[in-house]
Amino acid sequence: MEYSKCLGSFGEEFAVRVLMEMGFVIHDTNYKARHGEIDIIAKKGSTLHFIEVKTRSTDSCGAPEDAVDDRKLERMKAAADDYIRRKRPGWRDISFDVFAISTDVIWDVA
Amino acid sequence: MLSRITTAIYTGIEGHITVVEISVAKGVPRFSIVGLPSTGILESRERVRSSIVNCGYEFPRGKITVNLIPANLRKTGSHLDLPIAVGLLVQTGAVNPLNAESIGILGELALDGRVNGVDGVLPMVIKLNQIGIKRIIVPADNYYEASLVDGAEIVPCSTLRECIGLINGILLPRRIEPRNEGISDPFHMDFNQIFGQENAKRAIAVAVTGRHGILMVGSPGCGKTMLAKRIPSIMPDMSREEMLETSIIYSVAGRLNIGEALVKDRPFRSPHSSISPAGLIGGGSYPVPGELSLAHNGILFLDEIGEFSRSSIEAMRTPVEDGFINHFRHGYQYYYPCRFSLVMASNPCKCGYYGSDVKMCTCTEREVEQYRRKLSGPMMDRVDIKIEMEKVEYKEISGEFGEGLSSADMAQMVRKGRAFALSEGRTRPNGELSEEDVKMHCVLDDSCRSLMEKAYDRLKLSPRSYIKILKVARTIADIEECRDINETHLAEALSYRIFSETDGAA
Repeated sequence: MEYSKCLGSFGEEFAVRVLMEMGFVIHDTNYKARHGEIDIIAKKGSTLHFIEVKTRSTDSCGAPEDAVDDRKLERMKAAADDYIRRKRPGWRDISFDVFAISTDVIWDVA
Repeated sequence: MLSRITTAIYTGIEGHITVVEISVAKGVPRFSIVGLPSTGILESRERVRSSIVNCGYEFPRGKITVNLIPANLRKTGSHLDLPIAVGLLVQTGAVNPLNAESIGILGELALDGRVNGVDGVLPMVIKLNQIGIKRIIVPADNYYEASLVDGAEIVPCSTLRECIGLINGILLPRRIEPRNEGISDPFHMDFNQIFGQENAKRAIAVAVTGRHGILMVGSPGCGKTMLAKRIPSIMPDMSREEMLETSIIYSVAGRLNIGEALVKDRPFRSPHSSISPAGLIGGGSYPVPGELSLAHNGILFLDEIGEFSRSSIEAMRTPVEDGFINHFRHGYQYYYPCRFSLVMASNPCKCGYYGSDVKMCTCTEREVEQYRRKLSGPMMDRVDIKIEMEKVEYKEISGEFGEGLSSADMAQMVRKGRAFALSEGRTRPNGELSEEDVKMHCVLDDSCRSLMEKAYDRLKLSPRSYIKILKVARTIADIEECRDINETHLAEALSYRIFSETDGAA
């Protein structure tokens, strides 16, 4: 697998674990809609969280959360719309989040 | 946490205190600037981010909001880069917030963290100093300009790192050698290099003494432009206040060269006749000064006044009369002063040889009339002295340089006249006396009165020209150091009107 994909899936798995420890209920991962994709959809209390996970092993390109720009947010919104329409019609209490992971471990490309 | 950095902006020649307020909140990263910033200020986000990162500092993470106080004043200028960067570094802990509190900061950043010089430093430093902010960090390029302000401790800096070091007290301010302010360039073109035209030279000395507007009319090649270019050589040196006023305008216009502090010589501006109204009076969305303001405390020379467009002349009319220009933009008034000696030159007609015995005039009567109408237009209201240039005789040309009036002689006349006027308690130049002042200071005796009466009827003078003649007569009397205007003074003053009156111009 490519290095970036490998790093990405590590990050997503890590994020799911941490979120569950924090009391989130995971509803879906890697949800793909026509106009975008959402890494994790999780619920805590009455709020449905749409979470983008960004993992960086170096900050030479800036902090991981900086990579989430307006275009990415628009795509997340479109995908979230799609998700709510199909699976949770009428759900109002939602939140968009970025789960930023910085790691200094260099991974072997498997 | 909030951080506040004090800086300033300028509108026109006026500085305003501005506080850069920065809040970094949790959330998706965003960097926004509010408080009516110009596009230039918005672009500072990129410069600030790069220079912070490239200097090896940490850029704060989270949602950054920069607020520029007062929020209702439109702001422009790249000098807000440095205060914004310092404010952000307060947030990350790189700068001690207590140290950053009591200083003023101005400067533009390059991507590598270098601090570039900016425009308008002088009025901004004056304002900061006024409200009690004594320690002011400025770009090293603007050091001399800023250090003109008495009582301010100016700290030059060249890089973001240096700036942070200075604020945290790790670095001591660099010592920059105080510049030898020196005397201005003593070499001027001298009036004695001009052949003949002694009458014109005397008229110019009178005009400069009383700050009267002057118009020279004559055929091509008779020396109008040469005369005008030599006027700075007979003007008194600028006072410190005048230098500051003019320097502020040049500072705002970005015309002070790097390392240059003060405009020491009276400006001499001679815009070409094809100039636009905006070029003359200034303009733009954030108005910048035009030629009229750049001539402040100096000379505005309009060569070939007949060739200026109608709209250019109309645009100059009010500012020339008032001595200042107000631009209104987006509900705000931008003020620029423009008090100068007005010098104009013109050909007598389109081809230039009307009334000359050197060459035949080839203009039609209509063309002559049209040309003349421009000469009698609104700008002539400001002209107190009109002279017709004489034909230069061969024996004058063949003479030696330095036979006629020299700049030194004329400067002496000007000095004498101004000193006398001052000793008589007149602080304003005679050209700018009000109607009441004229009544008080320009008293005619009986013989003068009868001369004036004759002239008034014969030359078909208007009340306005009457006042002007009195003012010019007063100036001539000042040069002769006479308390009272006598017949000779009045006759000379009248001679500076005759050309236009007989030709029907008001």
